[in-house]
Amino acid sequence: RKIIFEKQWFYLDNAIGHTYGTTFEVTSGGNLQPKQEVEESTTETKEAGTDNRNIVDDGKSQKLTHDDIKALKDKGIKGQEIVQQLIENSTTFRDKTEFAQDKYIKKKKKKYEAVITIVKPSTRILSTMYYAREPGKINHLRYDTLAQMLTLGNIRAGNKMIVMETCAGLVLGAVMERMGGYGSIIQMYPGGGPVRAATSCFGFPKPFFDNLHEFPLSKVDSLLSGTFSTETLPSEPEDNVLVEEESNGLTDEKQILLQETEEESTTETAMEINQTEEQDTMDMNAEDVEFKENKEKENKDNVREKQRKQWERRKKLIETAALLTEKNADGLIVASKFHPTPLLLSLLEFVAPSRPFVVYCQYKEPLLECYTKLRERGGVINLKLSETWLRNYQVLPDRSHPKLTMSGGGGYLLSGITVVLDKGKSDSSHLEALKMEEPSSKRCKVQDLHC
Amino acid sequence: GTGSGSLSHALIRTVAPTGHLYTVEFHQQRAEKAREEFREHGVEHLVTVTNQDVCKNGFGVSNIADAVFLDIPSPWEAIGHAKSALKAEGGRICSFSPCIEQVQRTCLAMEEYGFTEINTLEILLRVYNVRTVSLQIPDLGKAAEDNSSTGFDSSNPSNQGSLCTNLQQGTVQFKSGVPLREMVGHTGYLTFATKS
Repeated sequence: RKIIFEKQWFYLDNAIGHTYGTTFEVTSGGNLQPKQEVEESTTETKEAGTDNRNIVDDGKSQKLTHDDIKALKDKGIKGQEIVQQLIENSTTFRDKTEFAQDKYIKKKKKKYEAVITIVKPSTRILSTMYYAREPGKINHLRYDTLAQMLTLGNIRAGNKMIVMETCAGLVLGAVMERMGGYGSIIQMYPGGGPVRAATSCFGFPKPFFDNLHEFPLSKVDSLLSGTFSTETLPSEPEDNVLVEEESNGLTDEKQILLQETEEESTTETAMEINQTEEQDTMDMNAEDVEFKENKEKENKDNVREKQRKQWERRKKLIETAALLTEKNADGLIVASKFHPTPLLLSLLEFVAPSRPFVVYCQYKEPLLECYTKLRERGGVINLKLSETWLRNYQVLPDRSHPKLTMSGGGGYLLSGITVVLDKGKSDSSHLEALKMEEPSSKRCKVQDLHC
Repeated sequence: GTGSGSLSHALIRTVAPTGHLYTVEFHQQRAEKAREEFREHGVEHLVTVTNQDVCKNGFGVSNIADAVFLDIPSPWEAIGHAKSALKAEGGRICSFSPCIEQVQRTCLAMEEYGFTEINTLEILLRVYNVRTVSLQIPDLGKAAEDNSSTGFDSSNPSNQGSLCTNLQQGTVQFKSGVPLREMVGHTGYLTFATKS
């Protein structure tokens, strides 16, 4: 399969068997070849100028034409050679300062030397790549903001985490990497199913996914109000029974509840299969008699498989619902395109007291509203609205400075810690909290700022 | 550069339960205090504190580290030791220094020792206070004719709550994320690299 990346195309076949970190050259045939370490000769006395006062940029200083260069490429000449040829055929090269020469060589190498290094995926690499190439898919979540989330959220092995994200599964992957396969994660998702495109890039071992659950946002309200029921086929008597069981047994008899619903599902599914089999037999009479038996069996198998899968899905859904209703998650991470307030207000219900939560939003304003609503709700302390400012540097002898371009913004974070929500006291305590939010200007002394 | 052990605790939290932190502190009492605290916090099985000068004697381990972090005055002197402590391929190094001159020396040393992807950056945390702000609407007077109203529509609920009850002109309220008057502008530069 041909891979096209950064205007280079090549086949990955020769990469198999090499260790991560191996650097390859792309040959003229598009194959990868391990690159030999070439010692850059630094002992040559380079002829160089002192400044650019006499250098005229008329676009004519390079004697090789596009066609000449193409001819060299077609001959299979290595990129290194091409760069050397360009230097020799440049009338202004030796007049440039040493710094300018370095810059020129670096630029030409990047263009003509096709060098690929294959690295092991990690949060660092994937988050940097996504931010650089597909920021829209991750709501412009910059990698340092993601790093802050992992720390503020105290993500670590053994946690029971709730994650709600629409970042292609990158945030989920970062959380899974930190947890190292220990603990459990419940991923809340909008629509039909969770997106885990980025998650699969991490290359996690299969056991990591054993404790990864998912739950649809569309069922959250019903779960919180005690009216949760799994998706049903049109005529299902067991469904009403489920509803009753759920709303009665939520707090105490979760274990018994689970068993009961499992039993219900088994008998109900068996009933369904019988019903559909009969349905099938009736339909068969209209078809070609010769294929009747084979088709019948095939259909029965397909239907049985579909029913089985549906039953599995339903079972998992009930299990995950039970995990959520325990209301003892160790933390909550939200990073999505949706307005954060409704998500937080509902998902916080599943988190134990004295646990951290972090919400990411590309914009500041929704988090202002979220902050206000959380203050009204109560049950949270240490609310902090923040962003990180990131700047890259070029560090070279006598040429150190911040780089020319920097990211304008990497999103905002609202973080806090849950506390026991005492509903009786909420009126007076939240007013107290609101009063305490307004600082008196007299208290703002320079030494206070160190805390 | 264990120091207070603050970063060490964060790293231990991250690598638990199967990882290990080797930390080196050249000040004897600080090293002992750190050991004590790790014990108190029940994490002593996840960390080894060594009391020596990392620049002279290294980390006490070789070829096993996934990552090395340096928070010392002369990190360029420890780059060689860091390299030998790191695993054969793919290990990461990070050095933290307040002064650009330290960074320059460190980057040079990293290059000399064959580290790749050398990258220096700084990050700053900006905190915002969420405040309800009220701005007064200025009185621009009235035009000469009678029955003319002020240009600005004062239909905003300006008299609610405990703020501004007696203004004739009215106010506009809005929520804002207000930066602190003074913020931390610099702590240090972070330089990352890969051993390849």
